[in-house]
Amino acid sequence: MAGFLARRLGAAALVAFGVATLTFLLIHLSPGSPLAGSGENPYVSAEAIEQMRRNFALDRPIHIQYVRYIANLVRGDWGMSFTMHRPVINALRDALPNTLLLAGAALIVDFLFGIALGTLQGMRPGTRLDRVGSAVTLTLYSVPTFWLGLMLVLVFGQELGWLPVSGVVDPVLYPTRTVVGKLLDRGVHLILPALTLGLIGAAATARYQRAAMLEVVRQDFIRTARAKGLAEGAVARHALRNAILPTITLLGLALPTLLSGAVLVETVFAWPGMGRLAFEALQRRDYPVVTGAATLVALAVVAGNLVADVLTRIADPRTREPT
Amino acid sequence: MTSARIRLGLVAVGLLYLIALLAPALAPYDPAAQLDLVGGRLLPPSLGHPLGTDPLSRDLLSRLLFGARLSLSIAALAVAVAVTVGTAVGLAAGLAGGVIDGILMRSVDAALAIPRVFLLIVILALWEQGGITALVLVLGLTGWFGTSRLVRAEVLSLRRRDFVLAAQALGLPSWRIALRHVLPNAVAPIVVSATLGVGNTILIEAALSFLGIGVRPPQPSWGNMIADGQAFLATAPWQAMVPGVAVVVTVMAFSVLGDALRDRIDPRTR
Repeated sequence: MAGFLARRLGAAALVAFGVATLTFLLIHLSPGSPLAGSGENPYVSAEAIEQMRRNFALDRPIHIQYVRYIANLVRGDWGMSFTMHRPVINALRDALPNTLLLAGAALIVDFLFGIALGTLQGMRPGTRLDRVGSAVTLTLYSVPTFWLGLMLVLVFGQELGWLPVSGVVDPVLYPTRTVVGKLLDRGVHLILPALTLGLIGAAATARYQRAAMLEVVRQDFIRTARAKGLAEGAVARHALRNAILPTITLLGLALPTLLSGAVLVETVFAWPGMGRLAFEALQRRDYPVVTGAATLVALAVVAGNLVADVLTRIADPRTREPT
Repeated sequence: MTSARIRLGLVAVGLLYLIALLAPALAPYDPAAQLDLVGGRLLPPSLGHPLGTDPLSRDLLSRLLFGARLSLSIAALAVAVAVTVGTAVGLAAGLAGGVIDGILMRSVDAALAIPRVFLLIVILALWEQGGITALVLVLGLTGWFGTSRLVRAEVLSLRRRDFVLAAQALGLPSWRIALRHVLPNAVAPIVVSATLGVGNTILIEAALSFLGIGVRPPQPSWGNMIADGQAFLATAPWQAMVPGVAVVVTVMAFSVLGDALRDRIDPRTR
């Protein structure tokens, strides 16, 4: 296990390094120079521009700038925000927990609904339940995340008035509440955003789980289990244990999609997370925040893939080396 | 069963493109014309305006039809770009092997780790807005990573086959082997992924337009129509509902076709 972990960590570090290189390339391939605005300004002297170029090391060759960029990333110096008067890393640190909470809750919805539906469908392929399930997942799969969010706001927020539709907590009442009240407040604010993001993901997970079940239920050990008269629930348990493996791998693959969706869900529900931060920074042309957010989110994806790999290995003895 | 679904998908996709093509003839009004800013805003559906009018008194049906034209052509062109680049990279990586393969595929891994919407936000932030052409290119150039992996996997399984070895033994140049012998055998999975890719690209374009960084007003796109309707969810909910339903139906058509084509190739999933 130690050797496996070391190898996987090495591969993850390589991908993380690739992500940093990619953002560096994107920044440097973009048209215009960082000081172009100052150059057009008649009140900024040529010496001052030269001074700034030196201060930001823009006069150094590109490979030196690259090494500095990577070194600064590793040290946690992600630059200053243009508009917030604070280091980028601090703004990211404030937003990250909100996105992780949202993504975590959505992932639970995603996998609970997705695996349950996919397993039910896969146990009885071709039945009415399977066909209805497929129609539902196909439809959900085609729904834009932000639009589902708006429709849930329309139904549960406006028509029924059951749930809050924006923010992480109630801005007025939250400070006055007890500890339990505060937790409840956070909980009800989380329901609609997490449901929006989770249901869309659940459609993909269910399709995947159904396909995995179809592979398994035709095998002999399932026929044996049914032939010896096991209850259908027990048969499903046998099948699920074998069909769950590809779905665990999907956990790592689902993360980028989930975080892409988070940008939209955070925008619709005014949720102060990474996606909203990046998007608002884009509108203010606050480039260090935009690239910083993308880098951090990519690192989260790399970490998620690592976790999925380790989980697969724990769940499937065949992937371990003989001891 | 499968061929019936393929037919259904083809008919649906064909109809959608027909509607997009005929939009100028079908639309009752100019999609950008603000008909009556005083009394004609947010009108409910009626005979004159089958889907009502939008917050700027433009005819919603006309905007929906012209939106189809934009969304469908952007998605198709972007996927064409993505498939071309992805196929080229996948062929190169699979046939070259070794260091080139390693560098290309690790780069693809890194690119896939950045969630697509974040990647698009970075690119759209750094490059100034360049209109529809730029949008197509950006969507295409961020959409090929999956295709390249798929093509590479196909190439790896094909390149040890006898007919490829025979071509090599005959001394054919490697570009000829790649294009004439390997590629034709990898076409089927590429077509499936392209079909599903069009649906996916429509979803992403709608999302970008909703955020205001894709198709920009006054040009109508389903995404920015939903954004326009968002403010009137309480008083005129159909403003956001109608374009959303259009997106769902369109993406579903491509999903049905793509799924059916995949089942045709790989009968295990039936």
